[in-house]
Amino acid sequence: MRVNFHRRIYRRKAIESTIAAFRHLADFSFSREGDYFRVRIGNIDAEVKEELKEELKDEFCNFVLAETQYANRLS
Amino acid sequence: MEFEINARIYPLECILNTAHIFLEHFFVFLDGDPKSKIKVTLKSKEATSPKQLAGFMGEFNNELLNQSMRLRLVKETKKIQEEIISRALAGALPKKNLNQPPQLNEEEIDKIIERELRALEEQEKTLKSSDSKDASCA
Repeated sequence: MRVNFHRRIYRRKAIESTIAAFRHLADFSFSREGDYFRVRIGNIDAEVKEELKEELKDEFCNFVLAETQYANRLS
Repeated sequence: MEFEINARIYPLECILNTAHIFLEHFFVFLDGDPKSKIKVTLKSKEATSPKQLAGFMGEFNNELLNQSMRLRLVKETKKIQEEIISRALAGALPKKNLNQPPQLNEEEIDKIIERELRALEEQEKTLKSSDSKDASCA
């Protein structure tokens, strides 16, 4: 599962802190390619139900957005 | 549901504020260039009909307008806000100057001088005793 966050919209710190918050649920790899931060989500915890795996990605994106907004307000 | 927002009309800050309001009931994802167009993907956390989703898109657009007005007002009234805060802070400061040392009467000053003298005498004694020990060792 992959998510691409545009660098001009989302903050790197926001992605990193979200990965830290979700680390117990899956493995995350993070890289920067062109205009995007790319996050790969894999090896999702076996206790997470199959139908909730897609939701995990969506919750991850929401969390990154909230963290970005929080970081923007601080700066 | 996906739709685009003209980022030349609504700045990124405004779009982010709006998206943040929708986070509680929707999964929101943003993509695109903040200098031209932003693509918004809204996914409801609860089951909703396409008609309802279209309504939510309208609400999103309305909130965009609210947020852009709010940002404009914040910018326009920034100086007034700063002035109010600085006056409030100045009014809350204590009238006495905290940097000045506390006023002491003569008795208190004498006590302090005595205490300091005693401390000096003790210091001298300890220095002398350590010198005499050193000399005897040598």
